[in-house]
Amino acid sequence: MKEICLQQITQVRLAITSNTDAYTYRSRLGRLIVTCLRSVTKKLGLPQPILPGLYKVPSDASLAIKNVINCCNKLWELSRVLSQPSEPLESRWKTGWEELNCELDLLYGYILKVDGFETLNQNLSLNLNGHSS
Amino acid sequence: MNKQNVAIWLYGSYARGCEDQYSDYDILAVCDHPVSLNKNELPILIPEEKISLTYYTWTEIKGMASYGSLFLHHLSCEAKIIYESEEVEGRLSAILNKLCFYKKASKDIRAFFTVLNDIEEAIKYDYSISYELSVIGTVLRHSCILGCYIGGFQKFGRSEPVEIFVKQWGLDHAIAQDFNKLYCFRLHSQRENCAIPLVNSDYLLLWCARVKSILKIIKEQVDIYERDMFATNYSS
Repeated sequence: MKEICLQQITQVRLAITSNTDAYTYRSRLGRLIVTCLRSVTKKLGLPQPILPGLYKVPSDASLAIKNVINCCNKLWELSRVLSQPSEPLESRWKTGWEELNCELDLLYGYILKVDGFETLNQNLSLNLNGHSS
Repeated sequence: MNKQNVAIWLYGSYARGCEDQYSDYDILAVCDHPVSLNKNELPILIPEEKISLTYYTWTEIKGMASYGSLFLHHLSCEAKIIYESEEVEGRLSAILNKLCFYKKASKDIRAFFTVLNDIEEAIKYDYSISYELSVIGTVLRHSCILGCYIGGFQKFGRSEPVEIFVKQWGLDHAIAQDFNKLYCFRLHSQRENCAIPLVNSDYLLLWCARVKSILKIIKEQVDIYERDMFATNYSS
């Protein structure tokens, strides 16, 4: 799962830097948040969330997992500012890109530090530039 | 909250008078400094938990007007003023009265296809079916809003754009009939009082295929629409 989370971070970045569309930014960021939360909750043996949102940090989790959850919560709060319920504005995502990118950097680092993250058992090689092969 | 240069409008089901148990009060606040906005500080008497707040700055609204934002078209059809501070009285109405045709239709279509491709990629690994279905529901609704707009119908309700589009194009009635079940996943992400049905990956794949076929129809219409708009602008 570590590889999937890292790949999804790359996908969010690619969407914004390649100037696709705010719809794509929004859906990819939501997917990244829910995937990360599902990965860490699975590792903790907790019910996996089905939708992105704020997640309460378990007190007995490792520091690495707490950091991942806190980072996801920050990204969720940020996405709610960047993406209004009615129409997600590209201009607002571009304005908020620096802050978002900092959080993505942090999340990338925190994910790498989580021990024993379930690894992929599929015959899959992931190119972290954003493509699977 | 600084109440200078603030306009607060109601739109959505409560503005249309067709609210149901899942409806929120859709509130638009336009102001200069949106980061200072809190739901509990709005000059309106609606329970905070029932408010779905959208806020834009005046600069953002002007930017949206420059490309004929569908959201602004939506407002022009049904929105009602709740509060406007003296300095901005009539400002939003004036913007809505001069909206141009929507200029981002083909970009939207490309984005919708990208989002669907992302879903098809995501489901190869561990994924949340509820999240992916909530995304499909949103894409389908927004696609049909666009399809209806291009076809000359301005429909912005929850399920009406899908119903109208399916009927207009003689598509499988099951799409419109099943849409409310699909959209539960989207509603659940906003309000947990909307229960979500148990479904499997076949259900998700069915909706991916349905939405792709609808997008292909809308893309053809968008191509014609934009060619006509270009011709009209060029000749004038």
